[in-house]
Amino acid sequence: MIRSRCFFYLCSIILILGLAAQNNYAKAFELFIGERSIELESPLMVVNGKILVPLQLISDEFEAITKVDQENNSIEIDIQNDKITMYLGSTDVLYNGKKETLEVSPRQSNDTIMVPLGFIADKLGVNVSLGFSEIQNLDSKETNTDHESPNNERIVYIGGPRSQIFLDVKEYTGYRSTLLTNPDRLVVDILGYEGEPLEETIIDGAIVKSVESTLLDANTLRVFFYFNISTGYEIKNLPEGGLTVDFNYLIDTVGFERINNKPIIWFNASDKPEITEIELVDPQRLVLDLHDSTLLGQAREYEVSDSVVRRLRISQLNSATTRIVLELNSPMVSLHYGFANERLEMVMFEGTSEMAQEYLAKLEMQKQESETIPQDFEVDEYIVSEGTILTDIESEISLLKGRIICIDPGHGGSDPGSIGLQGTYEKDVVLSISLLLGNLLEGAGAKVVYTRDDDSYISIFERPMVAMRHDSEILISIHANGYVGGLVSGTETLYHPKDTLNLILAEAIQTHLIDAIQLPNRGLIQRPDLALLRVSEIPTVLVEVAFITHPKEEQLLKAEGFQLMVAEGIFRGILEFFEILASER
Amino acid sequence: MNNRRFISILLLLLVIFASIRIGTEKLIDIFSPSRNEYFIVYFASVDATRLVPEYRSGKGTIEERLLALQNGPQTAGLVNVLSKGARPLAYEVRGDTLFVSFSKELVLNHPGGSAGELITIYGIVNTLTEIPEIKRVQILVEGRFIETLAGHVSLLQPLERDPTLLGSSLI
Ligand SMILES: [Zn+2]
Repeated sequence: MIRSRCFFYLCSIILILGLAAQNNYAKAFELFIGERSIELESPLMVVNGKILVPLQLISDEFEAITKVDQENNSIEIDIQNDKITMYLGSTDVLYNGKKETLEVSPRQSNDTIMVPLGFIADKLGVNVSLGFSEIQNLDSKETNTDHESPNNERIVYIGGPRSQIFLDVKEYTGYRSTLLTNPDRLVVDILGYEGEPLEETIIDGAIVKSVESTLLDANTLRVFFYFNISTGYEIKNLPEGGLTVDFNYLIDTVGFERINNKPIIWFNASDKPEITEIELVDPQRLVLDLHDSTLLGQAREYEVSDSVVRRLRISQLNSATTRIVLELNSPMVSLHYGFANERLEMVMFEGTSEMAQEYLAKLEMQKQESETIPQDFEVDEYIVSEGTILTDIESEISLLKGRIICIDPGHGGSDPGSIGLQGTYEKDVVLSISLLLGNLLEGAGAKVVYTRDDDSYISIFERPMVAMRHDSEILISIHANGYVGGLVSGTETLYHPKDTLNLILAEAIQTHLIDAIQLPNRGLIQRPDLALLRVSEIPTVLVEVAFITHPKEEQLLKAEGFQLMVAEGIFRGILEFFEILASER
Repeated sequence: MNNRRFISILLLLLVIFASIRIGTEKLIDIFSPSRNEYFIVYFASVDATRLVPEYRSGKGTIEERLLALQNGPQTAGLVNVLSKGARPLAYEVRGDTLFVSFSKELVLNHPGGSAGELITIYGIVNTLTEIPEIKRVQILVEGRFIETLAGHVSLLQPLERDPTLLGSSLI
């Protein structure tokens, strides 16, 4: 995977943000123009991350003729064939007579006129950077000692909601498997295998501790999966070779509560297991069997102080099923089941299943034609179908009318962002998604501010500034994710924990986006270190829609239909965010 | 991994020696030098969600740690945090900050994405801040500051350890 990201390294102006204030560092830096280190007679000035240098330095280093006109505050810089005119205290600049805008204005400090170095260096195509010319060189006598990989056969922990493990064995004729106890382990015999045992792999996950293997005989590889907790499993042959072993979903805490008087059973799980519901009478009970699930910890039960639910029990029925039992005063069945509030929630109905069905049918009739969201994420399914979107959103338009929303398509210009195996650029797909989202928002009466609406570079510090300068109420940064290996997939939303509004916005968007595109849910992630999230003072999230480094997700990201689904999911998330805001007022 | 067994045995020895220590002071002297012969290097989980420690023998100097990062994990199922072909070139300690310079492959061969960027940056920072005297790490490329590695996290200032990323240990 060769990246053409030399832009950062070669062309971008390197900044020090706030570092100049920390004097012990400021002294330590050197300014480089090209490969030359520059003697500085007076210190650099750093404003909003941009370097300003004395005008004198420009004349010395670039052999420029400079002229300051005190009357109209103008600074003229003639370098070779170029003419740059700046104005003290103004971001206006003339470059060969054409008006452009500076990111930071020239200013006077004591008696020295300081000008932004980045703009001038850019126009001259010169690389300017801060760094060190002398730091201790590593004794790299041991470099390039590639660690040996005798063969490609190996055990790879993929993880995910079902703690997937990949056995990368190319040639075999079949397998057999069995669960054993003392210690708890799964044994898989891979038949018709020729080769060495695989290297032991420590996983130390919630389910699997480690995987070891030995040769049972010349043609059989025996693989042991040692467990922290005994659990069901599912083995799949991959057509390209190798096998995957999926373990159960993990079920953690469980509880019952009422939200707006709606009874809700909730639990924390690594993903959404299938549930079978059984109604029992005398005494009245509701049994929920969670398939392919393993309960973490011991069986337990809770007293519930509720008019209908008396008691709630959870236990592991067998290696494949976790069972929740509700002891009831009167019948109760489920209405919906899905992710909400960072957990799985089953919204309940007080009454029998027949009554619940009647209720749902009535709801269905009230609801006008509802659109369908493809559940399977095959690329072909995402066909652009104009006019099917927004049918149930019309009534919500008033919520967005007049709102100012900033959309930030990640990367751009010299920065391609992450690059897929087929050469798809993150900067391109996120721009398409952003423009589609912008259309939806504008259609609902919102005013949209873009940090970029074409293929241009803008720094990560500047992006939140653009949003705030235009009085945006929220900032949505749209990205595609990347990782080595091409195996990781899914959607995540990143936020800064400094303000709960960030979390509310992130949660609303992640939930609706997952609903819309049905990719693996990697959840909400706190990232106080991300420059954009840190600098922004308005509710801000960064959405990593999918992994462009994952072949299937790269395909999706390129597909216009999928881009539209993404835009729609984020749009609904934004809508919910403003709904929550309105309801709290 | 042999390492793991070795460390388990080492820990067992530690317990035995610690209990013997009550009677005889000398044994602990024999033992204590070898106790420092292991250090931690962080590599990434395959799903890009956490950093997993790997134990290496050695004193855990800056050079040893940087070379371990360069050479990559010895445990199957862990992922290198440095980009392909990236080499540490130079370092310098100033106060409690370590300035460390990598070859340009760190940026050029990086897969991008905020998940990939997170793993690379904190794989480096968390491995080096295992050294008690080092509180912050300033990542440089070919001796220069870079604005970001992959377009999300600012590298214009030294970074502190991020303990939230650390996965469970191998022992
Ligand atoms: Zn990105």
